[in-house]
Amino acid sequence: MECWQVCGQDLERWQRHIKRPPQEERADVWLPMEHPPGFDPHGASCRTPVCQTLVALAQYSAGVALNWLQQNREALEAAANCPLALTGVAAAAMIDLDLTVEQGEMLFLLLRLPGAAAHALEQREYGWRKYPFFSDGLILEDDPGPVTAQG
Amino acid sequence: MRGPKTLLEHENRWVTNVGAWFPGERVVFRGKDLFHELKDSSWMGLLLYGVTGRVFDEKQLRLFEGIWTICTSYPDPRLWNNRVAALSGTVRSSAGLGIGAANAVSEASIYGRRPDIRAIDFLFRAQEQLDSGTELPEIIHSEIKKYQRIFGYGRPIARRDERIDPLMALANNLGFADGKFIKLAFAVERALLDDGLRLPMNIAVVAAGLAADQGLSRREYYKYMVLSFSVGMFACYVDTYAKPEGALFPLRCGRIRYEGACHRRWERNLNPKRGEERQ
Repeated sequence: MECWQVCGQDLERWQRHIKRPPQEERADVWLPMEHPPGFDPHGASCRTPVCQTLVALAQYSAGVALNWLQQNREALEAAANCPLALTGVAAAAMIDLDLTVEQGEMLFLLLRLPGAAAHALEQREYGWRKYPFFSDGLILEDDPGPVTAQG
Repeated sequence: MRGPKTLLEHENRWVTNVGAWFPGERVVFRGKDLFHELKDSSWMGLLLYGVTGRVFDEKQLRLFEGIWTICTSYPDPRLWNNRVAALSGTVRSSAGLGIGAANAVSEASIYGRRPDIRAIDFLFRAQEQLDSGTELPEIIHSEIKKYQRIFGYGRPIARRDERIDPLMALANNLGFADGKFIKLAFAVERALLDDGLRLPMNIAVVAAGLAADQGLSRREYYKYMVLSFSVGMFACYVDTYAKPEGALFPLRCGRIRYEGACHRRWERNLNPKRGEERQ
Protein backbone atom coordinates (compact mmCIF):
# COMPACT_ATOMS: atom_id res chain seq x y z
CA MET A 1 0.00 0.00 0.00
CA GLU A 2 2.93 2.33 0.69
CA CYS A 3 4.24 1.58 -2.82
CA TRP A 4 0.86 2.58 -4.23
CA GLN A 5 0.99 5.83 -2.29
CA VAL A 6 4.46 6.59 -3.67
CA CYS A 7 4.03 5.31 -7.24
CA GLY A 8 0.31 5.57 -8.05
CA GLN A 9 -0.30 4.60 -11.68
CA ASP A 10 3.16 5.59 -12.89
CA LEU A 11 4.80 2.46 -14.33
CA GLU A 12 8.28 3.95 -14.58
CA ARG A 13 8.12 5.03 -10.98
CA TRP A 14 7.00 1.52 -9.94
CA GLN A 15 9.89 0.00 -11.87
CA ARG A 16 12.40 2.31 -10.21
CA HIS A 17 10.84 1.72 -6.79
CA ILE A 18 10.92 -2.06 -7.19
CA LYS A 19 14.51 -2.13 -8.42
CA ARG A 20 15.83 0.39 -5.93
CA PRO A 21 13.55 0.37 -2.89
CA PRO A 22 14.21 3.07 -0.29
CA GLN A 23 16.61 1.74 2.33
CA GLU A 24 16.54 2.72 5.98
CA GLU A 25 20.10 3.57 6.99
CA ARG A 26 19.47 2.79 10.65
CA ALA A 27 18.95 -0.70 12.07
CA ASP A 28 15.41 -1.55 13.14
CA VAL A 29 13.48 -4.32 14.90
CA TRP A 30 12.08 -5.15 11.46
CA LEU A 31 14.48 -6.75 9.03
CA PRO A 32 14.99 -5.27 5.56
CA MET A 33 12.67 -6.65 2.85
CA GLU A 34 14.34 -9.38 0.80
CA HIS A 35 11.85 -9.24 -2.08
CA PRO A 36 9.52 -6.58 -3.50
CA PRO A 37 6.41 -6.47 -1.31
CA GLY A 38 3.35 -7.96 -3.02
CA PHE A 39 5.39 -10.34 -5.17
CA ASP A 40 6.24 -14.02 -4.66
CA PRO A 41 10.02 -14.56 -4.44
CA HIS A 42 9.69 -18.30 -5.06
CA GLY A 43 7.10 -18.16 -7.84
CA ALA A 44 7.78 -19.10 -11.46
CA SER A 45 4.61 -17.47 -12.86
CA CYS A 46 1.53 -15.76 -11.54
CA ARG A 47 -0.55 -18.42 -9.80
CA THR A 48 -4.06 -19.08 -11.11
CA PRO A 49 -5.90 -18.00 -7.90
CA VAL A 50 -3.94 -14.73 -7.91
CA CYS A 51 -4.86 -14.01 -11.54
CA GLN A 52 -8.48 -15.03 -10.99
CA THR A 53 -8.80 -12.88 -7.87
CA LEU A 54 -7.29 -9.88 -9.66
CA VAL A 55 -9.68 -10.26 -12.62
CA ALA A 56 -12.70 -10.75 -10.36
CA LEU A 57 -11.95 -7.82 -8.07
CA ALA A 58 -11.03 -5.48 -10.95
CA GLN A 59 -14.48 -6.06 -12.44
CA TYR A 60 -16.21 -4.77 -9.36
CA SER A 61 -13.81 -2.05 -8.30
CA ALA A 62 -14.77 1.58 -8.64
CA GLY A 63 -11.14 2.54 -8.03
CA VAL A 64 -8.26 2.56 -10.48
CA ALA A 65 -5.55 0.50 -8.72
CA LEU A 66 -6.87 -3.00 -9.45
CA ASN A 67 -7.53 -2.25 -13.11
CA TRP A 68 -4.14 -0.60 -13.50
CA LEU A 69 -2.49 -3.58 -11.80
CA GLN A 70 -4.26 -5.95 -14.15
CA GLN A 71 -3.05 -4.01 -17.19
CA ASN A 72 0.52 -3.65 -15.93
CA ARG A 73 1.00 -6.92 -14.04
CA GLU A 74 3.50 -8.42 -16.47
CA ALA A 75 5.63 -5.28 -16.65
CA LEU A 76 5.73 -5.10 -12.87
CA GLU A 77 6.57 -8.80 -12.60
CA ALA A 78 9.44 -8.29 -15.02
CA ALA A 79 10.79 -5.45 -12.87
CA ALA A 80 10.40 -7.51 -9.69
CA ASN A 81 11.78 -10.62 -11.35
CA CYS A 82 9.06 -12.61 -9.59
CA PRO A 83 5.31 -13.01 -10.06
CA LEU A 84 2.55 -11.03 -8.39
CA ALA A 85 1.34 -12.56 -5.11
CA LEU A 86 -2.10 -12.42 -3.52
CA THR A 87 -0.74 -9.86 -1.05
CA GLY A 88 -0.15 -7.51 -4.01
CA VAL A 89 -3.76 -7.92 -5.16
CA ALA A 90 -5.00 -7.35 -1.60
CA ALA A 91 -2.96 -4.12 -1.34
CA ALA A 92 -4.45 -2.80 -4.61
CA ALA A 93 -7.96 -3.71 -3.43
CA MET A 94 -7.45 -1.83 -0.18
CA ILE A 95 -6.16 1.21 -2.06
CA ASP A 96 -9.33 1.09 -4.20
CA LEU A 97 -11.38 0.85 -0.99
CA ASP A 98 -9.67 4.08 0.08
CA LEU A 99 -8.24 2.54 3.24
CA THR A 100 -5.23 4.05 4.96
CA VAL A 101 -2.10 1.90 5.27
CA GLU A 102 -2.87 1.26 8.94
CA GLN A 103 -6.50 0.35 8.24
CA GLY A 104 -5.39 -1.97 5.44
CA GLU A 105 -2.89 -3.66 7.73
CA MET A 106 -5.59 -4.36 10.32
CA LEU A 107 -8.08 -5.68 7.76
CA PHE A 108 -5.40 -7.83 6.14
CA LEU A 109 -4.55 -9.42 9.49
CA LEU A 110 -8.22 -10.18 10.14
CA LEU A 111 -8.73 -11.67 6.69
CA ARG A 112 -5.71 -13.95 7.09
CA LEU A 113 -7.18 -15.55 10.21
CA PRO A 114 -9.60 -18.02 8.57
CA GLY A 115 -6.70 -19.85 6.91
CA ALA A 116 -4.76 -20.10 10.17
CA ALA A 117 -7.92 -21.21 11.97
CA ALA A 118 -8.55 -23.95 9.38
CA HIS A 119 -5.03 -25.30 9.92
CA ALA A 120 -5.47 -25.28 13.71
CA LEU A 121 -8.85 -27.03 13.52
CA GLU A 122 -7.49 -29.64 11.14
CA GLN A 123 -4.42 -30.30 13.31
CA ARG A 124 -6.64 -30.65 16.37
CA GLU A 125 -8.61 -33.37 14.56
CA TYR A 126 -5.43 -35.14 13.48
CA GLY A 127 -3.86 -35.16 16.97
CA TRP A 128 -0.25 -34.50 17.87
CA ARG A 129 1.11 -37.74 16.39
CA LYS A 130 0.28 -36.50 12.90
CA TYR A 131 2.17 -33.24 13.32
CA PRO A 132 4.63 -32.92 10.41
CA PHE A 133 7.89 -33.47 12.33
CA PHE A 134 10.23 -33.95 9.33
CA SER A 135 11.93 -36.74 11.27
CA ASP A 136 14.62 -37.29 8.63
CA GLY A 137 14.68 -33.70 7.38
CA LEU A 138 17.32 -32.17 9.67
CA ILE A 139 21.00 -32.34 8.84
CA LEU A 140 23.23 -31.30 11.73
CA GLU A 141 26.56 -29.98 10.48
CA ASP A 142 28.48 -29.99 13.74
CA ASP A 143 27.23 -32.97 15.70
CA PRO A 144 29.80 -33.71 18.44
CA GLY A 145 28.28 -37.19 18.81
CA PRO A 146 27.38 -38.79 22.13
CA VAL A 147 29.44 -37.28 24.95
CA THR A 148 30.30 -39.42 27.94
CA ALA A 149 30.12 -38.14 31.53
CA GLN A 150 33.92 -37.75 31.50
CA GLY A 151 33.90 -36.05 28.08
CA MET B 1 12.52 -15.40 -12.42
CA ARG B 2 14.12 -17.53 -9.78
CA GLY B 3 11.09 -19.77 -9.40
CA PRO B 4 10.77 -22.45 -6.73
CA LYS B 5 14.42 -23.64 -6.99
CA THR B 6 15.25 -22.63 -3.42
CA LEU B 7 12.13 -24.29 -2.05
CA LEU B 8 12.86 -27.51 -3.92
CA GLU B 9 16.42 -27.55 -2.57
CA HIS B 10 15.07 -27.25 0.95
CA GLU B 11 12.28 -29.80 0.66
CA ASN B 12 12.58 -32.08 3.72
CA ARG B 13 16.14 -30.82 4.14
CA TRP B 14 17.22 -28.28 6.74
CA VAL B 15 20.98 -28.04 7.14
CA THR B 16 21.91 -26.40 10.43
CA ASN B 17 24.62 -25.94 13.02
CA VAL B 18 22.22 -24.61 15.64
CA GLY B 19 21.22 -27.89 17.17
CA ALA B 20 19.00 -30.94 17.23
CA TRP B 21 17.14 -33.28 19.58
CA PHE B 22 17.96 -36.95 19.52
CA PRO B 23 14.81 -38.25 21.25
CA GLY B 24 15.43 -40.01 24.53
CA GLU B 25 19.18 -39.69 24.09
CA ARG B 26 20.78 -36.25 23.88
CA VAL B 27 20.47 -32.66 22.69
CA VAL B 28 23.02 -30.74 20.66
CA PHE B 29 22.96 -26.99 21.25
CA ARG B 30 25.19 -25.11 18.81
CA GLY B 31 27.69 -27.93 18.58
CA LYS B 32 27.78 -28.73 22.29
CA ASP B 33 26.07 -31.48 24.27
CA LEU B 34 23.42 -29.71 26.38
CA PHE B 35 23.43 -32.19 29.25
CA HIS B 36 27.19 -32.54 29.51
CA GLU B 37 28.99 -29.48 28.18
CA LEU B 38 26.33 -26.86 28.96
CA LYS B 39 24.52 -28.30 31.98
CA ASP B 40 26.22 -25.90 34.41
CA SER B 41 25.63 -22.83 32.25
CA SER B 42 23.43 -20.09 33.68
CA TRP B 43 20.22 -19.32 31.83
CA MET B 44 21.72 -15.98 30.72
CA GLY B 45 24.85 -17.77 29.52
CA LEU B 46 22.78 -20.20 27.49
CA LEU B 47 20.63 -17.41 26.07
CA LEU B 48 23.70 -15.48 24.89
CA TYR B 49 25.28 -18.66 23.55
CA GLY B 50 22.07 -19.31 21.58
CA VAL B 51 21.94 -15.74 20.28
CA THR B 52 25.63 -15.29 19.44
CA GLY B 53 27.27 -18.74 19.38
CA ARG B 54 29.91 -17.32 21.73
CA VAL B 55 30.66 -18.19 25.34
CA PHE B 56 30.86 -15.23 27.72
CA ASP B 57 32.80 -15.26 30.98
CA GLU B 58 31.36 -14.95 34.48
CA LYS B 59 31.91 -11.20 34.77
CA GLN B 60 30.34 -10.51 31.40
CA LEU B 61 27.31 -12.59 32.32
CA ARG B 62 26.92 -10.64 35.56
CA LEU B 63 26.86 -7.46 33.49
CA PHE B 64 24.32 -8.86 31.01
CA GLU B 65 22.11 -10.14 33.81
CA GLY B 66 22.48 -6.82 35.65
CA ILE B 67 21.28 -4.96 32.55
CA TRP B 68 18.19 -7.20 32.51
CA THR B 69 17.54 -6.66 36.21
CA ILE B 70 17.97 -2.89 36.22
CA CYS B 71 16.25 -2.40 32.86
CA THR B 72 13.32 -4.73 33.38
CA SER B 73 9.82 -3.43 32.95
CA TYR B 74 8.85 -1.91 36.28
CA PRO B 75 5.97 -3.82 37.88
CA ASP B 76 3.51 -1.00 37.32
CA PRO B 77 0.34 -1.82 35.34
CA ARG B 78 0.02 1.78 34.13
CA LEU B 79 2.97 1.34 31.77
CA TRP B 80 2.06 0.50 28.17
CA ASN B 81 3.40 -3.03 27.88
CA ASN B 82 2.64 -3.98 31.48
CA ARG B 83 -0.95 -2.89 30.91
CA VAL B 84 -1.24 -5.67 28.34
CA ALA B 85 0.06 -8.28 30.81
CA ALA B 86 -2.16 -6.88 33.57
CA LEU B 87 -5.26 -6.83 31.34
CA SER B 88 -4.62 -10.43 30.33
CA GLY B 89 -4.61 -11.37 34.01
CA THR B 90 -7.73 -9.38 34.82
CA VAL B 91 -9.69 -11.12 32.02
CA ARG B 92 -8.21 -14.50 33.04
CA SER B 93 -6.27 -15.07 29.86
CA SER B 94 -3.24 -17.36 30.05
CA ALA B 95 0.13 -16.09 31.28
CA GLY B 96 1.74 -17.26 28.04
CA LEU B 97 -0.58 -15.15 25.91
CA GLY B 98 -0.35 -12.17 28.24
CA ILE B 99 3.43 -12.11 28.55
CA GLY B 100 3.90 -12.88 24.85
CA ALA B 101 1.60 -10.03 23.82
CA ALA B 102 3.22 -7.64 26.31
CA ASN B 103 6.68 -8.45 24.94
CA ALA B 104 5.40 -7.92 21.39
CA VAL B 105 4.06 -4.51 22.43
CA SER B 106 7.50 -3.73 23.88
CA GLU B 107 8.87 -3.40 20.34
CA ALA B 108 7.76 0.18 20.64
CA SER B 109 9.26 3.38 19.27
CA ILE B 110 9.51 5.50 22.41
CA TYR B 111 10.60 2.73 24.77
CA GLY B 112 11.78 -0.86 24.56
CA ARG B 113 13.22 -2.63 21.58
CA ARG B 114 13.34 0.04 18.90
CA PRO B 115 15.26 2.53 21.08
CA ASP B 116 17.54 -0.40 22.04
CA ILE B 117 18.56 -1.27 18.50
CA ARG B 118 18.57 2.34 17.32
CA ALA B 119 20.78 3.38 20.26
CA ILE B 120 23.43 0.73 19.63
CA ASP B 121 23.16 1.43 15.90
CA PHE B 122 23.83 5.12 16.53
CA LEU B 123 26.91 4.33 18.64
CA PHE B 124 28.33 2.10 15.90
CA ARG B 125 27.63 4.63 13.15
CA ALA B 126 29.00 7.50 15.22
CA GLN B 127 32.18 5.54 16.02
CA GLU B 128 32.67 4.73 12.32
CA GLN B 129 32.40 8.42 11.49
CA LEU B 130 34.79 9.36 14.30
CA ASP B 131 37.26 6.79 12.99
CA SER B 132 37.06 8.38 9.57
CA GLY B 133 37.86 11.80 11.00
CA THR B 134 34.47 13.47 11.48
CA GLU B 135 34.15 15.53 14.66
CA LEU B 136 31.54 14.51 17.25
CA PRO B 137 29.48 17.76 17.12
CA GLU B 138 29.19 17.38 13.36
CA ILE B 139 28.01 13.77 13.73
CA ILE B 140 25.40 14.85 16.26
CA HIS B 141 24.14 17.77 14.15
CA SER B 142 23.87 15.59 11.11
CA GLU B 143 21.93 12.88 13.02
CA ILE B 144 19.48 15.40 14.47
CA LYS B 145 19.04 17.16 11.13
CA LYS B 146 18.32 13.87 9.40
CA TYR B 147 16.20 12.09 12.03
CA GLN B 148 15.10 14.90 14.38
CA ARG B 149 16.36 12.84 17.35
CA ILE B 150 19.07 10.58 18.67
CA PHE B 151 17.82 7.39 20.25
CA GLY B 152 19.12 7.06 23.80
CA TYR B 153 18.98 10.81 24.52
CA GLY B 154 15.97 12.59 26.00
CA ARG B 155 13.18 10.75 27.77
CA PRO B 156 9.38 10.92 27.67
CA ILE B 157 7.58 11.56 30.97
CA ALA B 158 10.64 11.88 33.28
CA ARG B 159 13.80 13.83 32.49
CA ARG B 160 16.29 12.02 34.70
CA ASP B 161 16.78 8.30 34.16
CA GLU B 162 17.03 6.68 37.57
CA ARG B 163 18.56 3.49 36.14
CA ILE B 164 21.82 5.01 34.96
CA ASP B 165 23.53 5.31 38.35
CA PRO B 166 22.90 1.73 39.52
CA LEU B 167 23.85 0.30 36.13
CA MET B 168 27.06 2.31 35.92
CA ALA B 169 27.88 1.32 39.52
CA LEU B 170 27.58 -2.33 38.48
CA ALA B 171 29.66 -1.74 35.34
CA ASN B 172 32.26 0.03 37.46
CA ASN B 173 32.47 -2.85 39.95
CA LEU B 174 32.96 -5.28 37.11
CA GLY B 175 35.57 -3.10 35.39
CA PHE B 176 33.43 -2.39 32.35
CA ALA B 177 32.83 1.33 32.83
CA ASP B 178 35.66 2.55 30.59
CA GLY B 179 34.95 0.81 27.30
CA LYS B 180 35.05 2.67 23.99
CA PHE B 181 31.32 2.70 23.38
CA ILE B 182 30.16 3.57 26.90
CA LYS B 183 32.63 6.47 26.87
CA LEU B 184 31.22 7.56 23.52
CA ALA B 185 27.68 7.40 24.95
CA PHE B 186 28.66 9.85 27.72
CA ALA B 187 30.66 12.03 25.31
CA VAL B 188 27.57 12.47 23.13
CA GLU B 189 25.54 13.56 26.16
CA ARG B 190 28.18 16.14 27.07
CA ALA B 191 28.27 17.43 23.50
CA LEU B 192 24.48 17.73 23.42
CA LEU B 193 24.43 19.66 26.68
CA ASP B 194 27.34 21.87 25.54
CA ASP B 195 25.28 22.65 22.47
CA GLY B 196 22.37 23.78 24.61
CA LEU B 197 20.26 20.76 23.74
CA ARG B 198 18.57 19.46 26.89
CA LEU B 199 18.66 15.85 25.89
CA PRO B 200 20.15 13.93 28.82
CA MET B 201 20.98 10.33 28.13
CA ASN B 202 18.56 7.57 29.03
CA ILE B 203 19.20 3.96 29.92
CA ALA B 204 18.86 2.74 26.30
CA VAL B 205 22.20 4.21 25.23
CA VAL B 206 23.95 3.23 28.48
CA ALA B 207 22.94 -0.44 28.18
CA ALA B 208 23.71 -0.34 24.45
CA GLY B 209 27.18 1.11 25.06
CA LEU B 210 28.02 -1.46 27.73
CA ALA B 211 26.80 -4.34 25.52
CA ALA B 212 28.66 -3.00 22.49
CA ASP B 213 31.85 -2.95 24.55
CA GLN B 214 31.35 -6.67 25.19
CA GLY B 215 31.25 -7.31 21.45
CA LEU B 216 27.53 -7.68 20.78
CA SER B 217 26.42 -6.63 17.30
CA ARG B 218 23.28 -4.60 16.69
CA ARG B 219 21.06 -7.60 16.08
CA GLU B 220 22.66 -9.71 18.81
CA TYR B 221 21.96 -6.93 21.28
CA TYR B 222 18.34 -6.61 20.12
CA LYS B 223 17.72 -10.36 20.47
CA TYR B 224 19.41 -10.48 23.87
CA MET B 225 17.05 -7.71 25.05
CA VAL B 226 13.79 -9.15 23.65
CA LEU B 227 12.71 -10.95 26.84
CA SER B 228 14.28 -8.51 29.29
CA PHE B 229 10.98 -6.84 30.28
CA SER B 230 9.28 -10.15 31.12
CA VAL B 231 9.98 -10.06 34.85
CA GLY B 232 7.87 -6.97 35.57
CA MET B 233 5.14 -8.28 33.31
CA PHE B 234 4.78 -11.49 35.31
CA ALA B 235 4.38 -9.45 38.48
CA CYS B 236 1.60 -7.37 36.88
CA TYR B 237 -0.13 -10.51 35.59
CA VAL B 238 0.05 -12.19 39.01
CA ASP B 239 -1.34 -9.06 40.69
CA THR B 240 -4.42 -8.73 38.50
CA TYR B 241 -5.00 -12.50 38.44
CA ALA B 242 -5.17 -12.51 42.23
CA LYS B 243 -7.80 -9.75 42.33
CA PRO B 244 -11.45 -9.72 41.16
CA GLU B 245 -11.82 -10.38 37.45
CA GLY B 246 -12.25 -7.39 35.15
CA ALA B 247 -11.36 -4.96 37.95
CA LEU B 248 -8.26 -3.31 36.47
CA PHE B 249 -8.96 0.36 35.71
CA PRO B 250 -12.58 -0.03 34.55
CA LEU B 251 -14.02 2.98 32.71
CA ARG B 252 -17.64 3.94 33.20
CA CYS B 253 -19.36 5.00 29.98
CA GLY B 254 -19.77 8.56 31.25
CA ARG B 255 -16.00 9.04 31.22
CA ILE B 256 -15.85 8.46 27.47
CA ARG B 257 -16.50 11.50 25.28
CA TYR B 258 -17.77 10.09 22.02
CA GLU B 259 -17.16 12.23 18.95
CA GLY B 260 -18.04 9.83 16.12
CA ALA B 261 -21.18 9.42 14.03
CA CYS B 262 -24.44 10.43 15.69
CA HIS B 263 -26.92 7.98 17.11
CA ARG B 264 -28.66 6.14 14.28
CA ARG B 265 -32.23 4.89 14.47
CA TRP B 266 -32.86 1.37 13.31
CA GLU B 267 -36.23 1.49 11.58
CA ARG B 268 -38.58 -1.46 11.68
CA ASN B 269 -39.24 -2.61 8.17
CA LEU B 270 -40.29 -5.70 6.27
CA ASN B 271 -37.92 -8.20 4.73
CA PRO B 272 -39.02 -8.02 1.09
CA LYS B 273 -38.07 -11.61 0.40
CA ARG B 274 -39.76 -13.41 3.25
CA GLY B 275 -42.35 -10.85 4.15
CA GLU B 276 -41.19 -11.18 7.75
CA GLU B 277 -40.81 -8.32 10.08
CA ARG B 278 -37.24 -7.62 11.06
CA GLN B 279 -35.52 -5.13 13.27
